Amino acid sequence: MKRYIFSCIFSAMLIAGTFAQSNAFVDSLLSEKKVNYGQVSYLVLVASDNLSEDADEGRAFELLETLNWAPKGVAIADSVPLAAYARILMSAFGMKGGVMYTLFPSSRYAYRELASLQVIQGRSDPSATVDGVAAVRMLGRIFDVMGLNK
Amino acid sequence: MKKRTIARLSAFLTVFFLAVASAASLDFGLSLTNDSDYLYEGDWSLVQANEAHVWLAVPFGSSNALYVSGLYEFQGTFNSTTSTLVPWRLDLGRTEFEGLLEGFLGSSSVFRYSVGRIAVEDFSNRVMSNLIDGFRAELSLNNFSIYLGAGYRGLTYKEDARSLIDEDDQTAYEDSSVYFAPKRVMANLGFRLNELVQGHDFGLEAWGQYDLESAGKQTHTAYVEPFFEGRFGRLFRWRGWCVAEFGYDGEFFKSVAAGGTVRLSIPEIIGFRVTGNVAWASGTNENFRYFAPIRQKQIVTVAAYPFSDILLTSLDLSASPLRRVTVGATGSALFRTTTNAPSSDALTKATVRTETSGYYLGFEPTARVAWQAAADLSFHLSGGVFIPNTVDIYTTDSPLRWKASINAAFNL
Amino acid sequence: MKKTFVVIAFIAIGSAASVFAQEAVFSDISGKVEYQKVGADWRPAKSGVKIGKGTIVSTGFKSTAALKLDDTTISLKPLTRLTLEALVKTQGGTQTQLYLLAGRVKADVPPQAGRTTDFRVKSPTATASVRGTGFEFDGINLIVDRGSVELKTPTGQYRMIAAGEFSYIVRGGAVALPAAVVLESGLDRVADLIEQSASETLSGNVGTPTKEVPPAAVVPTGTLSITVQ
Repeated sequence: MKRYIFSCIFSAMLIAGTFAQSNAFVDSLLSEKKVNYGQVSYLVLVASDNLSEDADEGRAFELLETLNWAPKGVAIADSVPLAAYARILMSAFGMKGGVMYTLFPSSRYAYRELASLQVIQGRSDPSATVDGVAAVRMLGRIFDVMGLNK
Repeated sequence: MKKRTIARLSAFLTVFFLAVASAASLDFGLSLTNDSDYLYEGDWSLVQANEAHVWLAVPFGSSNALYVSGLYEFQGTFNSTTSTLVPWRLDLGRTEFEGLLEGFLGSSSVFRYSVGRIAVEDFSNRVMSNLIDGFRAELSLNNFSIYLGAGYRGLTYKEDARSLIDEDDQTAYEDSSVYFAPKRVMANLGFRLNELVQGHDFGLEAWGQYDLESAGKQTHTAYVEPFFEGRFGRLFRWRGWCVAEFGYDGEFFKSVAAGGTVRLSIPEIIGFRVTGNVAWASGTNENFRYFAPIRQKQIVTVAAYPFSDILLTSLDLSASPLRRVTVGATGSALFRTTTNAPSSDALTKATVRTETSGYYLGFEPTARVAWQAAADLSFHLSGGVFIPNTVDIYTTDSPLRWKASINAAFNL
Repeated sequence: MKKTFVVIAFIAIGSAASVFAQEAVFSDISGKVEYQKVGADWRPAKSGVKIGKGTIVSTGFKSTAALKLDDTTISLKPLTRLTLEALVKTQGGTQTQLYLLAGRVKADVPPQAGRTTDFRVKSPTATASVRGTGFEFDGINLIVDRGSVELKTPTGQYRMIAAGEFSYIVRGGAVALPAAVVLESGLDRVADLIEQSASETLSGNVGTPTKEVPPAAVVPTGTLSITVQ
């Protein structure tokens, strides 16, 4: 009985901890003026079901590098240009692009593709760094485009 | 011609590389377009044009940017007897330094500017719509905006500029040794009030051009264009405009033009739309002279009637049966507004009767299909026929004029 | 003097009693939805839970929630972070102010006969306030289901968007001409809505193809504010 009660309490704490972790993460991300590759890796890979929510940013970045979705030579703490984020989103969600993205799946054509889909909307610079609000907004739009909200 | 081309190319490349060298971040691209126009009017002809358009965009700070573009064009005209090739033409495309300044005159103001080879157009798109070498500035205060611009047209390609205001312009246009448009400067000033009445915008524009050609007759013109645009109910949109043209070529003259469009949209039924359009431009009579816009444009697709001494009434139907596919059909009836002979450029094989009566020139049904295959690839197929009035205006042996066009655009 | 004082006191007490705080109630929760009351930790949301002023609501990936406030329903789409800044009910009507940090909300605000409804949704770039309408707004794009909404930029340019219409803030910072659109998908297909809106524009040549021009240089907006009234 004691063991049963203890495991229930432990499970509840674990779940609460998981909730707290995901919200703490989103909280910190939304306040960032410049998101880094570690944050973006975790956000996108968890959202695309490529990574468990229990993982951390280090593991997420390692996976991003292994999958070849991060630009070569970047570090986990580097800020993320809009075009690079566009490529990570398109790769993580398996999005098919236009002719040029299909032939050359680079960040440049990923940026063009997401701009045409209005995932990137308004005046934007492909080399500008992404802030937390924009990162979450674009991810939300990807869900709309992919019909994942239904 | 060759030295001029090399000079233009050098200027473009200099600006291009300066931009590349100075820019920490830039975007660039290449657009390839194909335009194939097949015409049949008693005899066939094919106009084949291919264009490669390279562009470079460099941001400067958060509110300014430099855009540089250039183009290479191939054009060939073929018919049963002759063929004319322009194997290459290089030119500077839209090239501008543009930006905006928020809070220029208080928190409710925005100032926008653009300098370089910029695109300008009037509200109706009938007076002027082309590239000029100059500037444009706009100040917006809440729902009121005022804008002005000025520029020079003499460095643009004459086929693009289509400056056909007087006989000198026509002569230069037909002279194959002339490349550039006539030397004219133009300026415009206008204002617009959004939602002055709920759902409706009103405004006024003034355009003017000054002839700098030293030889021949100088013709200066000015245009005043009040307009409105709005919607009533959810499904109806409409717009109206009129233009009063005042000119001087040794003597003063005036002409007028007016037009309006009404559209019914039913998005729930495969994006169905019905659009009615009327456009009228005066011809030469005891009161007016023929309407001469700054840039002359063909008013319908198949017949090459200019917007002068003409009344156009058309009905267009369009729908989007599939995502990224639009189909449409247009029926246009054309009338002359005076008893003067219709434009000889409109139909190449039709003959005007020695004695004409009535005003009805002919009817033109056309159809089109547009397909956005991918974000960077699109196709457009269109075709139609002009059926001339062989009862009152043209002789009975005047043939129908057929046209089919295939356009494709690919962005790299 | 004493009578005057008592009368004034009663009036003051009566006025104070006619203004009271409201609470919103969670309903239709799907996926991971959490809320954080002022000074408290994040807790998972459940149907029937009541929340008041200052509470932050957060929806996760593929998660949605609905909040009921009297007759008003506020639907939160996935990846939304919403703060209830003010929930006040008076004898004359209700005043609701929400802060949308990220994501999208859909609000159904039925008009109340004889009472005023002041309903506002603020975001880092916009303020939306409506009186008896239904709309969906994500800070840049607006689609109106019922009634009408005024879409306004920080520089004061505005347009009225009526029921069944869509509008958005264009690249230059102006408000696009409203276009009649299909409401079924809401703002799920923004690209299609913008394409419909752009093709609604009446120009000189109906039916003729226009040559595609490569995009002009685009630069960051800095802070773009939209006021929807």
